[in-house]
Amino acid sequence: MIGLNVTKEYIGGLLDKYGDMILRISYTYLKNRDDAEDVVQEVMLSVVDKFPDFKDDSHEKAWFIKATINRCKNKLNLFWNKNKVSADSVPEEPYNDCYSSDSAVADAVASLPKKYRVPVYLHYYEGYSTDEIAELTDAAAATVRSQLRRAREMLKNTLKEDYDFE
Amino acid sequence: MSENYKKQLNNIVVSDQLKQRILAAAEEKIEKKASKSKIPYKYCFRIAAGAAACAAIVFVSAITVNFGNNTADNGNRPQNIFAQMPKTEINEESDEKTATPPENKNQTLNTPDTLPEKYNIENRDSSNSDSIVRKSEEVEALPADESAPSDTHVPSDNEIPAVLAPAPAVNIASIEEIESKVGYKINLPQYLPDGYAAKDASLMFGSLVQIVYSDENDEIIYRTEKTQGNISGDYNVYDKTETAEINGVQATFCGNDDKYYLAYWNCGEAYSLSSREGLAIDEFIAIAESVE
Repeated sequence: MIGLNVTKEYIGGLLDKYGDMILRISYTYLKNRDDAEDVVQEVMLSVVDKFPDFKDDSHEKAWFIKATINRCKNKLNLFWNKNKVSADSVPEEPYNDCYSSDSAVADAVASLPKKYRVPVYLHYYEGYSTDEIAELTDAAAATVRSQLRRAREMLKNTLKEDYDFE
Repeated sequence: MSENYKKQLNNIVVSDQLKQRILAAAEEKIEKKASKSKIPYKYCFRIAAGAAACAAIVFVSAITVNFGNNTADNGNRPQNIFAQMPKTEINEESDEKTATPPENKNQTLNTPDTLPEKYNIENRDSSNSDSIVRKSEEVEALPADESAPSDTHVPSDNEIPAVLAPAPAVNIASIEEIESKVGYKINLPQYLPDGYAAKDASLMFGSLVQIVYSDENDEIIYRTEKTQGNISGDYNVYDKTETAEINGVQATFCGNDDKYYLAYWNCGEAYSLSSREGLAIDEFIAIAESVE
């Protein structure tokens, strides 16, 4: 079969290594702590199901980032499909701010459209280049650069003197 | 880099409570998978039953082919059909056929006196080999291939048509092996409903990749190939057909009642998903969208 033997200790090691990253990406995307924690669990359990065969650390990290983004999209799709109602009664995107402190920067990033939030996280927190982000998010490199530029413009307008995204 | 942003995100960490919850769920899942693998006889039974069924089909088809080659046409043709058909007068000089209408509606159709003897089916003597289609002596003289039944042969209930040979498939042990054989990166679903795991992978006809995911009750068959169209192999007629956009392309979902059994789409390569027991369309969409 494909992959390797998975044990509880192996999952524990992966959780220590990537759990925080998965949680941050999920929270950035979903803005909801409970849903973000569900995504972490789903991603880890998918390792048990799929036994992915990682070539190296960078491949391993990229796998987790892609799997997390896909599960976040699934969660939003399922939420949308199960809650089709008239436009007037559509609730706003839930925002569980259990993780937030009094940070204008966090609020400003959270207020960005979701298609900008993940590239901002991957570039300014994880340090990925635009080409790497394009590969992780299945987008064109030009699209990623455009998204980051637009995100910086919006953050500059919001943060003004607190803006420090280079 | 934004230091403020980094500082904020550093607050977001996996709590001990969450970690314990995830590890407990993982342990339960690992134990469940391990207990499944201790019951090989169910899997072996399926393989044995499948092999027996294939052998039976091949055996019966071999008999049928031999039976068809050795059977003459005339003995099997139901003669009552021809007796009920309106008789036709044959003009041998002009080769024109004109129907001879009865003089009276109530008059029973009989073989016209002018009909040449060889076209009179009711009076045909089987020992007289002068048949319309072919003489029995000619049948016996022909090589085996040419003595096949004519197009008007009506198969009896005991005859079973030959079946096609099963598709040639090669079992594969890893995705890397598949990719090395087909020469390109294979996209796979990154999301599956709870309980499903990869069970089998194969390469069919040298280009069609098939991966079977299963849980206790169902199988999801995922296929991909560098081509266009519906490659699922599922040609059932379903009551419902829905379309939805998957990663920028239109996907088709087919089902009955409230379950869906088939999804297929093209995005560079052709993709298909089929579920034996059926899934909610949301699940199909989620699986399809996770293919990467």
